[in-house]
Amino acid sequence: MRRAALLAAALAATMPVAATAKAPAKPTLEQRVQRLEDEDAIRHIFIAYAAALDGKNADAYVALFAKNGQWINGSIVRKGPAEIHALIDGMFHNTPAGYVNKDSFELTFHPDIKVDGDRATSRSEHVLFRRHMDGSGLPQAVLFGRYEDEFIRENGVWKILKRVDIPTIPTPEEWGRIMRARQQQPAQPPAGGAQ
Amino acid sequence: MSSRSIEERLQRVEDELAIQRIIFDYSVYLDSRNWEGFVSLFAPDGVWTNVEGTYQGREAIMAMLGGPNGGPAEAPKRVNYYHANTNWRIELDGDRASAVSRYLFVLRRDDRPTSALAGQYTDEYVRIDGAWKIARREAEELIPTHAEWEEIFLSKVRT
Repeated sequence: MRRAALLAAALAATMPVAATAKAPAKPTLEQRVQRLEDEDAIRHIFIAYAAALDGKNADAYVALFAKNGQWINGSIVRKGPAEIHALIDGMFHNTPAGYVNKDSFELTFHPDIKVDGDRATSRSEHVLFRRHMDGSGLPQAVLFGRYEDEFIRENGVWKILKRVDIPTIPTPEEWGRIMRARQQQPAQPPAGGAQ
Repeated sequence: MSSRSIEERLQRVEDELAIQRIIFDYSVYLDSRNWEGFVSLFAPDGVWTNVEGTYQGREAIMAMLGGPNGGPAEAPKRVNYYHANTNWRIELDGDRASAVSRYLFVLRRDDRPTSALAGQYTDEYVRIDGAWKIARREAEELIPTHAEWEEIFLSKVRT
C-alpha cells in the first residue's frame, strides 16, 4: 500500500512535465484529405509518364515536367520543356493518333512519396518489357531501373521538377551496348481464353 | 485550395480506391479460378469482350468461363500463373468511370516464372446501389498479339 502511494506520488510529480511537453498537432480533416490527394496526384504522374513513353507521346511526356523541370540520366542532363522535348521527340516523332504500343511497355512500382507542402520527393522502380528478341513475341524484361524524383506544385498542379533515371539491370554502359546492337538490327513491324 | 467540399474530395479518393480494388480483384479471382467472385465484379448487364467474342450479363460471362466449376481446378495458392496489374489510369465522372490499365501474365514454365503475355484492359464502370461494378471490360493482348498468342499455343499442342 505504501509502495503504491509512493508510485502514485512519483507519477503525479512527473505529470506537469508531461502536460507541458508539446505533442505533435493532429492534422485536420482538410490536411488529411489534401495529403491523400497530393500522393494520388503524384502517383498519377508515374502512370502518365509510363503511358506517355508507351504511347510515344512527346507532348504528353513533356507536359509532366515543371517549367524548370530536369531529366537526368548519368551525364545526360536536359533542362526545361524545350530541351526535354528535343530529347524525346527524336525518338517519338510521327507517332500516329490513337497509337497503341505492341512492342514495349513500362511497368512502374514501389512508389515511396514524401509530400512537404508544395514540394515532394519520391523514389520508385520500373521495368521495361519488350518483345522477346528470340522472335517468340513473348514479353521480356529488358531493363530494371530506379527513379529518384522531386516534384513541385505549379499553379495547383503537381509537376516533375527533377527526374533522375538510374538504370540498374543492366547498367547504363551495358544498356548502351544493347541499344546499339538493337539499332543495327532491322526494325520489326508493330504487331497487331479470358485475360 | 480546392473549391470542392471535403466530402466531395474524400468521395473522389474513395471512388478511385474502390475501382483500383476491382482491377486487382479481377486478377485475383481470375488466377484463383473464383468464377463467382469474378462475375460479381460485373454489373448485371456488364460486358466482357475481346477480339474473339463479346459476352453480356453475368450468366453469359460465367458460361464463357465454363460455368461455376469450369476449367481445371487450380490450387488456391495460385502456383501456376498470375496476372500483375499496373499503370491504371482512372477517370471519374459522377456515377460513371472509365479506366485503362496494363497487365502482365506470368506463367510457370520449367518451374520458372516466364513473362508470357502483356496486354491492356479498357474499362467502363458504373455505380449501382453505392457499389462500383464493371459495365464493360475489353481485354486486348498486345505482346504477343492475340494471333501470335494462339500460334504459340497451337505450336505447343502440335508438339
